[in-house]
Amino acid sequence: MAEIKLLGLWASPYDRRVLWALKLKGIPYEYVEEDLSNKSPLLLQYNPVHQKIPVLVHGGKPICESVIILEYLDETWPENPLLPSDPYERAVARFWVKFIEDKCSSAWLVFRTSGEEQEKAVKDSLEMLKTIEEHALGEKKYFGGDKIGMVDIACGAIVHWLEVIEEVVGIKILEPHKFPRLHAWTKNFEEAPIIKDNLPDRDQMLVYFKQAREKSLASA
Amino acid sequence: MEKPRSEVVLYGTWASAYCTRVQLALKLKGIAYEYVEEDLTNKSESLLHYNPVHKKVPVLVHKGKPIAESLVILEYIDDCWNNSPNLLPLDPYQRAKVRFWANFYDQKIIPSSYAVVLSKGKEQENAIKEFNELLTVLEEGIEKDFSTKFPFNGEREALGFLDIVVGAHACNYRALEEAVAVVVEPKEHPAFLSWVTKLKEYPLMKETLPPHDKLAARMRERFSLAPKRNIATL
Repeated sequence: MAEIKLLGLWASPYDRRVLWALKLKGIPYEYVEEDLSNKSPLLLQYNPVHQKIPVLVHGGKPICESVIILEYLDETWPENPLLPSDPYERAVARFWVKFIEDKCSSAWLVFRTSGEEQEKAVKDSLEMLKTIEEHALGEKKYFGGDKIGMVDIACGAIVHWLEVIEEVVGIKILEPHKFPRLHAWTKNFEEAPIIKDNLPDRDQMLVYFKQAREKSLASA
Repeated sequence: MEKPRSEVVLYGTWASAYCTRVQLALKLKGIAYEYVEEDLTNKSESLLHYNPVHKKVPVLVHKGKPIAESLVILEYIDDCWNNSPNLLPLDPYQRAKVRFWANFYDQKIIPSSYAVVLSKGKEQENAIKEFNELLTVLEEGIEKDFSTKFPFNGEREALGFLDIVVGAHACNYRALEEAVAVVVEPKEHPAFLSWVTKLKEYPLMKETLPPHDKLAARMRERFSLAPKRNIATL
């Protein structure tokens, strides 16, 4: 089996998604921590277009963009599937993954901005969560049923990071009483066997993102 | 009372490239479908029911079950009707590359083209410059990632995923340029233009694209806030 390298950043939710998928599928890999202030020649070679992490390199072949990597992993290692087998259910899953990708930027804006801009970002984030709460989550344990799938992984990363963002900026967004389903789902997800052993250290995250926010506001 | 619909129904608008994509895919696969033209200023009950999240077109409804978002719909069509031709390649690595460039086109090129039409003066010149830079990235990336040259990213005669995703939007560039401004610098992008030209000649594309004059008129009307501008440097 050709070797797998994951180029990533421990504090990135996108990187974490790929890590979770690799672990859930039991795929061995080598992790390479990148320093985004000093990008390695390897990263620049493997992701010339965006120069971002994560990048999965399988037998020397690079795949970029976390969601595309997840699809690649699912197609190459079909055991412990991340997507349902039914085409319609797959389309529903892809729809929600795309929704999360398109809307999660508001969570990052909450983190990076202040004042009016931040207020708008909070509002947008609440709308995103409301839509997920009302339309995406049913009564099942996870998005697709009783097993963790691609939507859980995609959403889980954003929600977990949102918890840190909330603490750093001092604004609670995902309030349990406002989002009961999401709250229940978050607990299920973060307590699931492989996920709970592969969450980033909360204290380290707080330090990292507090510093990052200060830098971001200073350069605004 | 609405009459019962066919097994496959597409809710769309004639000028939307995202809708054109779905039509191309359905026709390529020989799937019979009913088309419902939506008036986006007065959205139908059906559209709001089938796409409550975005309330947008295209929406494909298959046996009463709706799918929204053009790229998701294309993948669904390929999954569900897995007869030839395949829209996506079969190899996972090739699929990853196709998805990457489809995303790049939607997340970078299309918004950049909007930035061009919605700006004017110096801002528009900068938007055009950025658009052309992104186009270069696309061209170079596609040539590097796919072993076969333009057009069609493949040895077969049928359109592929990227032809559909890019072509449905790019083949209308002349209408955009007539309405707004010259955007694609021919000297800088011969490969891209050659691809688009070949796509435009493809019979299925010809019959599915919105009529040029009608589209140009519609764009002029829609983007009338930005004055027409000819770039003298070409």
